[in-house]
Amino acid sequence: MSVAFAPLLLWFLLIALVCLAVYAARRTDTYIGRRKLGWFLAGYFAVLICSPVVLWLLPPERLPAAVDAAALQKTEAAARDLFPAAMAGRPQSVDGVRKLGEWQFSLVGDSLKIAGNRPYSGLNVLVERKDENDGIIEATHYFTGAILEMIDVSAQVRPVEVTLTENTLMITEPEQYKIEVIRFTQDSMAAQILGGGFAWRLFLNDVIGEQLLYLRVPQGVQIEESKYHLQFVKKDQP
Amino acid sequence: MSLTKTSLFNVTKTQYQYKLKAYIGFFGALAAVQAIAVLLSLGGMGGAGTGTEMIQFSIKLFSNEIIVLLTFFWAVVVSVALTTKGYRDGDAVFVSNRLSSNLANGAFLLTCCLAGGLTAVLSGVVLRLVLFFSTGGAGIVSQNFFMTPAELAVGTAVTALYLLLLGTAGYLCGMLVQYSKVFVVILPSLFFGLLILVGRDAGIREMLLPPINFVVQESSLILLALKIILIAAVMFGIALLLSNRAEVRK
Repeated sequence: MSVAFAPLLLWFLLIALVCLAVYAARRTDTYIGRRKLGWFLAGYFAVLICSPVVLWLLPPERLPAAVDAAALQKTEAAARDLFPAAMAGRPQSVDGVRKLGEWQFSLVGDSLKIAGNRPYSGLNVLVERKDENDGIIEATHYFTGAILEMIDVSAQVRPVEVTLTENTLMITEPEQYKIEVIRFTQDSMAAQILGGGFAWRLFLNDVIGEQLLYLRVPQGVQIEESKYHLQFVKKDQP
Repeated sequence: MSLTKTSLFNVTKTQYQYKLKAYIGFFGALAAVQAIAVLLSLGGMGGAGTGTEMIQFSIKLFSNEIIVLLTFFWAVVVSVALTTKGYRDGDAVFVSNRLSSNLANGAFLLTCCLAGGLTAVLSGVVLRLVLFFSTGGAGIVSQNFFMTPAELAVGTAVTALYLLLLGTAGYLCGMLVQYSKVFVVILPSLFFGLLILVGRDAGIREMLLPPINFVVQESSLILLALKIILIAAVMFGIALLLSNRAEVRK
C-alpha cells in the first residue's frame, strides 16, 4: 500500500471510531448504567474544568526562559565573528564566546599527528604556532552558544574530547545528538478572532552556533599528518 | 385525547429534558473520542529539524487540532444519528408533534455544541498538562503554552459555533436521507466527489473558496456568530420542512 494512503486510512479509521462510539452510546447506559455514566461524565468535566486552573498555577520558571532579541543577535554575531577572529589569533575576543573544554599536553619530540574518531567531520581545527618552543600543546574548544526557538540550549552542547598519546593528538567528537524543544501552536479556533495563528515558519529564531578547536603548538613542531583540514592562524591579520 | 392543554414550549422543554437524560451516552462518546484524540495528540502534530554533523536541532509541534477535528466528526455523527428512526421513535412517548421534536433536537444539538466546544478546548489544556508533567517542563517553549483566559473563552466560542454549523449540516443531511433514501448515495458521492475535484481542479477550488472564506476568514466574533447562526437557522429550517414533508409522505 502506498505510504500516501496511510494518513487517509488513519482518518477513515478515526471517523469509523467516532461513528462506533456514537453508535455504542445508545447502549452505553444499558451496559454500564446511567448513574455510573453520569458519574464518569461528572468526573470528566471536573477534570477538564480544573485543568486551566492547574495550568495557570504551574511555575513558569519550570519552563526554559526565552532569551530576548538582543541575546539572539549577540549569539548570531558571535557565530559570525568567531572564525575570522580565531584566524587572526583572537578567538577569546569575540563577545559571547565560551570555552567548552581546555586541555594542555606536554609533547615529547617535534612531530605531531592529529587523528579523529569520525570519517568526516565539519569541526574547524585552527592551529596557531607559538612564538616559543616550550613543548606544550594547548587545545581549546570554543563555542558561541546555541539558541533554539528563543531558548538557550548551549548547556546541552557537548564538548569534544582531546587526548595525546605519544605524538598523536586524538580528537573524539560526540556522536551526533539531538536537542529538541516542544512547541505548542496557537489554538486555531481562537486565532481566527485573536489573530496570530500558526505560521509554518520554523528555525527563524535559532542559532546553531559556531564551534572550533583552537590548537596552540610549539613553534618547532611539525604536523606530519592530520585527519582534519587544518587552518593555520595568521596573527598579522587585522 | 388529552384533556390537558400544553404549549409548544412546554412540550419542547419536556422532550429536551428527556433527550438530555436518554442520550447521555452521546456525551460518553464525546469523552471517549476526546480521550483518544488527546492520546493521539501526544505524538505531536509534526516537527522539523536542522543541524550539523554534531548537533541536530529538532522542534516538535503540538496542538489540539486532532481533538477539535474529532469533536467536529462527533457532532456530525450525533446530529445525523438524531434523525434516524431509532431516535425519532423515542419521541413517541410524548404528546408531541414534528415541530416540538425537531426543536428539542435543535436544543439538544446546541447543548452538544456548547459541551463539545468547551471540552475540545479544555482537552487542549489537558494535553499541555500531560506533556508538562511527563517532561518536567524541560524543553517546552513557553509561547502558546500558557493559554490565556481570553484564548480559552474565544476558542470555546468559535469551536462551539463551528460545531453548530457542522451539527446543523449533519442534521440537514440526516433529514434529507429520511426524506428520500436516494440521498444515501447522493450525499457521500457529492462530498467525496467534491473533495477529489477540489484536489484536481483549481476552478472548482476558486468557486468553493468564497463561501468557505465567508466564514473562516471572519475575524469578528460577533459577525462570525451572526453568520453561523444565520446559516445554521436556514439549514435547520430546511430540515424542519423536510421533516414535515417526510411525515406526510409516510
